[in-house]
Amino acid sequence: MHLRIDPTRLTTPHEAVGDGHYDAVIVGSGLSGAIIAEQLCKEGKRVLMLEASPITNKSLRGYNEYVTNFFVSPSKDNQSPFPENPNAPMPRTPTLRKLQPGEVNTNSYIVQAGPYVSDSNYTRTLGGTTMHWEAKTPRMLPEDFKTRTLYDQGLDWPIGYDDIEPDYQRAEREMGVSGDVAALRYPGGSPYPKNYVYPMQGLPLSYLDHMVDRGIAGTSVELDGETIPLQVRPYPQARNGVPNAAYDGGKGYTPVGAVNTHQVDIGERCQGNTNCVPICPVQAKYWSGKTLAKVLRMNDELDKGEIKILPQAVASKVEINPENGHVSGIQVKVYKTPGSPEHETITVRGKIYVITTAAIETARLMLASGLPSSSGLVGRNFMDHAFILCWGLMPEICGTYRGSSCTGGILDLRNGPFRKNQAAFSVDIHNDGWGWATGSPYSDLTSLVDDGNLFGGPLRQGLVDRLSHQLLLAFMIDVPPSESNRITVDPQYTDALGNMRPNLSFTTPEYSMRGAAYARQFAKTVFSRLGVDDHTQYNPENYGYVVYEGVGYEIRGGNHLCGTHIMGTSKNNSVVDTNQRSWDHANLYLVGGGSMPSIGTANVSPTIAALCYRSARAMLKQLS
Amino acid sequence: MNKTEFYAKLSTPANDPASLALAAIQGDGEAGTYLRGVYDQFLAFSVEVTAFSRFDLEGTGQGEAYFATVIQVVGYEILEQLLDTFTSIINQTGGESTLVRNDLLRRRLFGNERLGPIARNIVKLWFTGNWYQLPRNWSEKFGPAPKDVTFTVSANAYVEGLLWTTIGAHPAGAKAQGYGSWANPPRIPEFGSDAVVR
Repeated sequence: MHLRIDPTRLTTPHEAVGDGHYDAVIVGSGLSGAIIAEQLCKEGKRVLMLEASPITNKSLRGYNEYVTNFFVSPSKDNQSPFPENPNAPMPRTPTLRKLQPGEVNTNSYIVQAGPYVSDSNYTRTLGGTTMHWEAKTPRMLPEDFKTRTLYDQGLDWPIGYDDIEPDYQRAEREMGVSGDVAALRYPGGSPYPKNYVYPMQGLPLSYLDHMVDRGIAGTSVELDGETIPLQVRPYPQARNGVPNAAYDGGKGYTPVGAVNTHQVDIGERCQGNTNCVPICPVQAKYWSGKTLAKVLRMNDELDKGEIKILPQAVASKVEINPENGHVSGIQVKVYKTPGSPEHETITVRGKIYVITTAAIETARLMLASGLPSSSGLVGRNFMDHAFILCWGLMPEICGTYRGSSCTGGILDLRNGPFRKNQAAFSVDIHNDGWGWATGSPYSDLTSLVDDGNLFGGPLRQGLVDRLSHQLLLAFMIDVPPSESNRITVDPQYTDALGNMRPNLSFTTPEYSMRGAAYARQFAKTVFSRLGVDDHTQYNPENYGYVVYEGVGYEIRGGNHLCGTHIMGTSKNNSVVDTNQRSWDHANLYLVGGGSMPSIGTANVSPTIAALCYRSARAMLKQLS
Repeated sequence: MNKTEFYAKLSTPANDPASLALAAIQGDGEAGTYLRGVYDQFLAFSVEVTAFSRFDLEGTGQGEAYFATVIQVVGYEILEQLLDTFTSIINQTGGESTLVRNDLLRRRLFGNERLGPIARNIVKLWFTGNWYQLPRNWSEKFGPAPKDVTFTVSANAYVEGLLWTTIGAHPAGAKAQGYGSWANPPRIPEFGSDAVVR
């Protein structure tokens, strides 16, 4: 499939303003922006899409430039493929540091106001964070939608699992999910309709997963009087595998290969590049370019709808008609090159406006426009999963550093009565070793050479002993919403174009810290069953270091951004309704994780994608 | 191109060091012969400290680039001193076991205040494709080298890192082993048994 963003698809500031008859202006080209555009164009609508960054990756050559950037970056951090752009900056972990009490770090793009430092990030490029995401796609659990009612924690959603279930199926088709429904049907798991299968068969578990499973299968843990059996289960993933002939009532599924290229040049099935984050070199992983390619083909070949894309266009202000509260336009700063702040300011207009720039940027834009909403909740209830990592060496060679980044995990602690007292978690087994925790394998190599004084054969033996035995468990811990965890803006902190930068005040709630403390104990139990040599160490100098009940932990973000414009039942308790439409501005939709009132223990993208279908239906109704 | 010209050209930023090194090594006359000799020593040293064969090392296509990198960052004098020390150790220990050779390599090369950090950096180059900034006390004692910052020699150098081969894996983002290969045990290549201490 080709991503034909040829010059006829691109628009200019002049045209975008003059062309005043768009049905929808969509801000952002990531997961939500692309799905909404696809749904609207399918019904013949005209869409203007604003993308803040240059769209380098619209061609295979540009995409490969990103891969090469990663190759030549000695730090290999999770934004290394994506070049610095002062006009549309993105958060980068190396700019973080531990904060002293009362200190604010203004050197990072997100001004870190503390007290906790968050390394949550997102990618500003064509495709948004789907360029960078890991693409695990578990659904949320039915209980995650009503945690207030069931566990007296967090907030209930105004809709439930059953309301969203058919849209999960649509999302799983669009993202091309490989998964094994049979292995995921278990008490406490997400219920799937009878006979449902994923579009593609599950990716095989890694050798490492099997070794872990061999050590824990048949054992259990006790928690709050409940016995929880343990085993390694596969994760569904939005990356291409073997099509499942039983999909769609036996109609099967055709995988979407790499966009921008011919399938012969780059394979369509996951090859195991072990590099899902920060970039899949062969586009086996879903990214929203695949959906955009579909939109363009729809436009060109089927003459359905029309999309125009305006690159290097940073939405700067949402303008409101004071008479009816409707959005009257979006002010956009269009720059010429990332190297210079020179830009022109235009206002683009449509019948409806859809902001899809993920929880932090969407809140930033609304607040910078002076629109905190009637409830005052814009920017508040910011959530990201709290991760703690536990790592050690398995007694035998496990072949770490192969496969997609994560194929399996322990999912049985995602739910249970214990959620009244402590946060649930999902456990990932990392096929990419200790990298996230320690900078492995580079840190191991330099340490064996510089400190271990090894060379030649002993060095090679040392590398096998140190790397091929690595096991890292990442605990993805539920974080309930809290109004004081919030994004704000402050005119003294701006980017190169003069747009206000997001400021983050964040504390990991005690409920989640109890989950983290249990996670560490749980890891010790699992390690003792596996005979793992535990190397976990939390460094007080790390930006994420937190002391809870006298014990130190490093808490990291999962880049699962939620909650800055939550949905609810009224304009007093929420920012958007169940269709992600703003209560205050009838032609404005804030679409994305920001609408989610809880995060549970599922990676957020499948839920975000599912909500897009619901919103698109409401938009089409509004436009008809 | 004679030796001095080659070394001078290497310090001109516009020139591609790997191609320059390749041209110099393949050059005619006395200079070519001389540089071929130095490069041969470089490869022999690399075989010794990586436990990969010359065939494996040349197979990465990175030898000339690493040779040029070392000269670019710290200069040819120090590299020649390192290689001469290595050659004299080999001459002195001909026929002896690896244990004896390694003992001398540690005492006279890896344990040498000036040469040790360079020797370790050559090992790291082969395994990762990265030049790592030298320790601060080295720069203070022997003078700062202007190009001595941590960098990846090239995209190909990263992809050809021997680290990944050593553990039967592949560099993250390249040389993937194929769908489902990860479900099987890794194939970790063997290396010369006399190199194993334990």
